[in-house]
Amino acid sequence: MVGPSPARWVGQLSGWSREELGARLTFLTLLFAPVGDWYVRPAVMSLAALGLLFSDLWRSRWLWTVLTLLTAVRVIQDWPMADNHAYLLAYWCLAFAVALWAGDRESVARNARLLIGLTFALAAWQKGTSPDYANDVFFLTTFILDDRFEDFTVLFTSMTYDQLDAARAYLEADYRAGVYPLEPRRADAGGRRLPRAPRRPSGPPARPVLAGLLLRDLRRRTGPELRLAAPRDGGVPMSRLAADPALVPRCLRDPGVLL
Amino acid sequence: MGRSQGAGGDGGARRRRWLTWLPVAALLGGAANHFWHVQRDHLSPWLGAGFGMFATSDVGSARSVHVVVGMADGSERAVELPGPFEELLARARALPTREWLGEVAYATRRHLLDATPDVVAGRPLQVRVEVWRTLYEPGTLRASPVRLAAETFTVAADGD
Repeated sequence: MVGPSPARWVGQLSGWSREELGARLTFLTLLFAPVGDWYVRPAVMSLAALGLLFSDLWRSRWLWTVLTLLTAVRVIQDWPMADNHAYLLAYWCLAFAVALWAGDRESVARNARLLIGLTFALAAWQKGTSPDYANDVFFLTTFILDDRFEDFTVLFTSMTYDQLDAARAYLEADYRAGVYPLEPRRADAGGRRLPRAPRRPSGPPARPVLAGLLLRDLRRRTGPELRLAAPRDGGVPMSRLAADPALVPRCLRDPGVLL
Repeated sequence: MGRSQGAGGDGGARRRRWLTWLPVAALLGGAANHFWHVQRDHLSPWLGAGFGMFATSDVGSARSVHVVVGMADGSERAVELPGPFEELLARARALPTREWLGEVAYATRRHLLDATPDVVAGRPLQVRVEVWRTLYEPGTLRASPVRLAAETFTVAADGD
């Protein structure tokens, strides 16, 4: 048999302290998911590779101090655009650095628990206090507008890709409707003069695209007697849906409830 | 001064113990800074060392930056900055402080000097930079724009 057996690997892993295991996994992360700009990235990757190659280097306080500074430089440079895991990576490198400077390796485990616990607690609190999260607006807009959820939305709802496109056109329509004082999409680089935008019309805007797609699709599947149910008002007649396309997203909320 | 070796050693150990709390302090400090900027400067809750990712529709793509240049004849022209300025616009969208909006104003002048030098060369520019957010109405998802920030800058002919 070529190479070490899985049992030997496990045996070797069990010989490592949890701090050593955490340090090596962090080096792996920094090596294969490198961070930073063109001049931060090579330094981070080199230090991570050295940490993996030399078995005792993970104990170096200077290595972790430099990694902390590099990961911190990255978030400062990107301010405020860095993703939140970038900050957490810097805190985590700092946890190793201070543990080694203080000669208290046990503090790595404590900091790991606190960082994870506080992250989830603060994330839960921020979601709980966000009105968008509680009233479904976040989920509805995210599932429709965020490309990353496109396949998920199509797979787990009755929406098709065409309907998603139409829904996006509906949700983003106000950007194109000229509700701003000046309409930037119609401006050219040279600063062509633009007309004053019209005032927002009262009542629901006429956006037949999404409603038309939905109606056609639903009629084909279920016939003309179909009603889309909105949970609070017991069902939306097709005629009302056609007259007020703004109701369509409400029906999308619970596409499985069709009367 | 006047401390015994043992007391100094205890003080050093205590300082070292406090040092190990630095990561947690950094996380809490970063989060506090995030909330402060969210409340004061309309920082997007998704960004800036907070934990509001996937908690709100107030994401960068739901915000937009509008640049309006005042011309010498009193008229106004909207200007759309091209691709190379996208990173700057993204920062201004995410954190519409006067500093970032000012950067957008200077970038606008640089852009106009390249695109239409005859219009702007040698003249101060009045640049208004606005950041808007799209709010979605619960239930209908009807969108409505809300202005988060607006600043007007006079960019001198030499760019200062």
